[in-house]
Amino acid sequence: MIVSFPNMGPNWVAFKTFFETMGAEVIVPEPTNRNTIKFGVKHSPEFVCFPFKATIGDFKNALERGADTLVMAIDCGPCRFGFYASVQERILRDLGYKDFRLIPLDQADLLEFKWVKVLFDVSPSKSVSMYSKALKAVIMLLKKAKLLEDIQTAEGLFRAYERTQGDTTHVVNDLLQQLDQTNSLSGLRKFRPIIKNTFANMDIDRTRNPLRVGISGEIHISLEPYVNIDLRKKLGEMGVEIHQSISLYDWVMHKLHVNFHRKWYEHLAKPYVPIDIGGECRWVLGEYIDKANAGFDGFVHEYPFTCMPEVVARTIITNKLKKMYDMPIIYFSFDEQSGVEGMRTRLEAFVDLMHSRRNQDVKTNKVKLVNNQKQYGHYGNNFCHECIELIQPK
Amino acid sequence: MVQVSDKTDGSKAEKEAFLGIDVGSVSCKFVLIDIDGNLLTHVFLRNRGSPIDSVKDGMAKLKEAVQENEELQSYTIKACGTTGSARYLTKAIVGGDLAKTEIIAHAVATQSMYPNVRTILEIGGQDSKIIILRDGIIIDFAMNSVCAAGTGSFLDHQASRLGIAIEEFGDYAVKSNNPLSIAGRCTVFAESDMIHKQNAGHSREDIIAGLCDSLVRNYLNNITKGKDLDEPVVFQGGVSYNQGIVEAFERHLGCKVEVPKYNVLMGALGMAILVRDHYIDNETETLFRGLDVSEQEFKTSTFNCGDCPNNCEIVQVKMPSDENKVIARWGSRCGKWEVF
Amino acid sequence: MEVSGGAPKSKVKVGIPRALHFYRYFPFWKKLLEELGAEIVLSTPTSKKIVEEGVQMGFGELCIPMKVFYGHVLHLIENHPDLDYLFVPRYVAEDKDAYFCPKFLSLPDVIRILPNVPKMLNFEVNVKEFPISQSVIELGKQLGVGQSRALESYKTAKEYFKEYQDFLRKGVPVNHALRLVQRDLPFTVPKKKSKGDIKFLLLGHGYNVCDTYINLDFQKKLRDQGIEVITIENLPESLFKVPVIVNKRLRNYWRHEEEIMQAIRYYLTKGRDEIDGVIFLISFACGPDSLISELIMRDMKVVGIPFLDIIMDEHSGEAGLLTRIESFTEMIRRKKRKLEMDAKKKVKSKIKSEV
Repeated sequence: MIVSFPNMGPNWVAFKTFFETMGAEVIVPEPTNRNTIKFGVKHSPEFVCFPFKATIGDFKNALERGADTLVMAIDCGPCRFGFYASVQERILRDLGYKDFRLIPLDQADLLEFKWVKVLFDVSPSKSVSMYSKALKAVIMLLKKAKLLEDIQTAEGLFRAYERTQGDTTHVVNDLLQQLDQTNSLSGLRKFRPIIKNTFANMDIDRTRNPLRVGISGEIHISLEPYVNIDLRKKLGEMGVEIHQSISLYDWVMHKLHVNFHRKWYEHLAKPYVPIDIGGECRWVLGEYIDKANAGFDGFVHEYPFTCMPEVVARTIITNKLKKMYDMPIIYFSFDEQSGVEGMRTRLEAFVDLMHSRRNQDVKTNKVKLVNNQKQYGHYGNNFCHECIELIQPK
Repeated sequence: MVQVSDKTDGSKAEKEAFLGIDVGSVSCKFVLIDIDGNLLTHVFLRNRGSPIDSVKDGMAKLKEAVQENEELQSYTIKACGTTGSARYLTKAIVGGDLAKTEIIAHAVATQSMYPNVRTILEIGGQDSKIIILRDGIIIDFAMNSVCAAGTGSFLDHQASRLGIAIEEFGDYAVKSNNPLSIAGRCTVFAESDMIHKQNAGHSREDIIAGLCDSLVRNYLNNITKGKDLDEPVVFQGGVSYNQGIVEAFERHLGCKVEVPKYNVLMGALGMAILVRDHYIDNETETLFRGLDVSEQEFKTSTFNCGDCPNNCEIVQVKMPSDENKVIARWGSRCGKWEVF
Repeated sequence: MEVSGGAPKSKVKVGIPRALHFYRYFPFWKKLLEELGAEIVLSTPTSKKIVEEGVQMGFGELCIPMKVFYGHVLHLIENHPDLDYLFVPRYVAEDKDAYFCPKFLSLPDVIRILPNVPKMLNFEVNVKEFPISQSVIELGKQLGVGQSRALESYKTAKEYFKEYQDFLRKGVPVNHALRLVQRDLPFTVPKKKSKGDIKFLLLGHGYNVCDTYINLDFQKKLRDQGIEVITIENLPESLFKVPVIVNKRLRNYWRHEEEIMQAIRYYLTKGRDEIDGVIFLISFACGPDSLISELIMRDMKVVGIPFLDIIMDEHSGEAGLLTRIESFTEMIRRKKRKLEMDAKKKVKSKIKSEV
């Protein structure tokens, strides 16, 4: 039993623990790369959304390295994602990969506990100890996912302040390695201060007052840096603070019905889209409103080309919300043809646009800067506030 | 002789000049302005081979222009800015002080001529963009991100198919009374549809007017979604030479569309203005290498990175005269080679 | 609407865009709304102007049927300023295990925010949450009709819709049936002109298969070439009773796609010899179709039924389409003739050998 799963940015750390705790051998997917995408594009339906092509490439890589069990999430929202697993399995089998199982992980409602069966499926021993292992696996997954989210939060903030370009990236990579090595619950409990200290020790320029941008969109695209052409890093290195609430932890909590800020976004989006239409449509709308109210300088919406729910979100933002809240927004729809250069130009121009708006606002006293203190109000989670303390001028 | 500030003897009270360079996908433009923003001279040339060759060529032309003109020789280039898709490379080669996107450059240039402008349409060789301004600041912009169907190369291609010069394209379009409807999402479809219409016996004028119309429709459908196109509207970029397109825009927007005098030079002009402001604000010494860059030798080489499965091909430019210093590198996805 | 005195109450005018679910549910809506006392205003059939306006309204990545829908709504707003309501129902789920595509789920939301839209009637079909009768009662309230009359109307409409569906199953083209419904004519089966020598199954969503402007009158093009065309609506009800299991753990997904899969399942197995080819009309950027067509294509390859998928958008050129259909049918005719010749030869040789 050798388990593998598709890429979604740094979240392999969490998935790896999840299956390893069950006693399964795990093949961590090769980082998404040109060949992965090439394979995906060649063998996928022509205008299917981009995550399909990326993940089928991941599966092929895993199979060639000896995996025999692939786990793929399925969802019963109305978007295409739910069909991925079955079509991908069909394509792979037609290509001659016979010896594998593709286990769909039903995440429609995690409180229905259908996912437990997946855990038992990948567990090599079928004894009673399996149950306690499953419990531990879930706890490990949640803890690591939360820590990954914290790293992501800090990364978004600190990159805008780093004195040497690339420092944050190194710190993040080191932390990921460390987190991957930490496999005891006590170790994980101590990990949060480690994250905080590592970032606190960075050489940063606290006097800056960078632009503040929210990022949201489809989850796979938002989390996997290869497919979004490192959007977060690029924007951060242009000196922009990035706030992205989408993460694996955020998603799992939502599916366990205990994610209250998503509930808040749903509430904000209710007048525009009252029901769940799949993807992250509702939350993107809610987040746009929330960030506009919190006085952000701009918003980035990223999604796979022709993604159905996100296209609806985009339509509603351009036709309605943008006119109401007047916060600049830029859209990126990704597919295999997305190029780095065009994206960089658009990002730079977007940053210039936000700068000129902010200067205008400072001139007309709409925005007041007191001693360069950064004011965030009640925005963000606890860890975010702890990080904000670290970047305030002394 | 135009001189570079650090090479002048400080005794002469010379006039200050600023150079803006716009290296696009099809052509590159050089504009020299004085401190009041008046255009002193300009160079326009089609790209040849690599952007490095084009820039060197342009610099040589600029040098010629300066040598022929007594008046210009009393100026000193105080700063140089670059824009266009090859802005970073160009900046590294000529020693630019500032690199900005063509969107900002276009907006700045247009504002210098039309202070109240609210909408800027720009169609160049391989890309098209729209910029929306209100109260003098850019509030929104968009670029074509899908394909070249709404750009100059589309027209170029169709013109050569129809066997007429691209310069005459507009004149034909204006003569038509009944523009045809031509499918135009992508150049291939447009072409097959056009051939079909040709075979069906429609007049050349009508077909050309149809192509212009289709380009404008494509442009409006692809990149101006959800934006309010208010007057005054300014239309620039290479395609704005084409009267047929201008008229098609006026028809679709229902208002007057202005075409500025320096319609193809706007990017370079804007960049010159931007770098002038930068100079006035910061008073820094320029990094500009001087017009003699055209005689410099630059060596480009490529190697494969091999640090990850992407195996990106990295291109680097070295300057042999300066101890083989690497002045630019690009091509890596992760960006690690671009930091020195 | 309050009308004082004895003046005859003018009927409430309800506008229905002739796009998307119109091709599927119109008879039901019409009967229902008329029973509830409303007068129906339909937009004109899709025209160049409608498509152009719609394309301008919706941005590039939307599928063409959605853009056409925008166009129809704009048409109604422009040409019927006296509309009291616009009828844009929200179809979420028609049975417990299947959704509609996300764009249907949010259809009223994206229409509501257009400029100058009249009031909209709320009608949500979501049997996962509540029965349709409840939505009908809600609809009745908005039109000032009491609960019992609303339920009565629902029953009538349902019966009428059933009758309509049965009528389609006799092999009547959907567009013909819709014309009868619009003119309140009885359902009589039209005389068949001539039977084609080959028979195609035309797959695709109603709004792709039946909108003659968008698909460049595809069905007529086929019939002109002597091809008999059947669509999903013409197939017997029994085919749609058992769900198709694509994946054991996955419940079935989109209503339309499931119907397509069910229809195809029959022809892949028992009905293999009943058709000569399958054509799948897909609109560019259609999410569900992009996956389903892949599965169907793979199945077809296994069984060996000729399969042609045609992707349409607002730019489709007529010439290219004709070429594709003609060569596809030509290929099938040749194949068929060859098979017949082979069969004859066999018979001949058999006779010879017997002699």
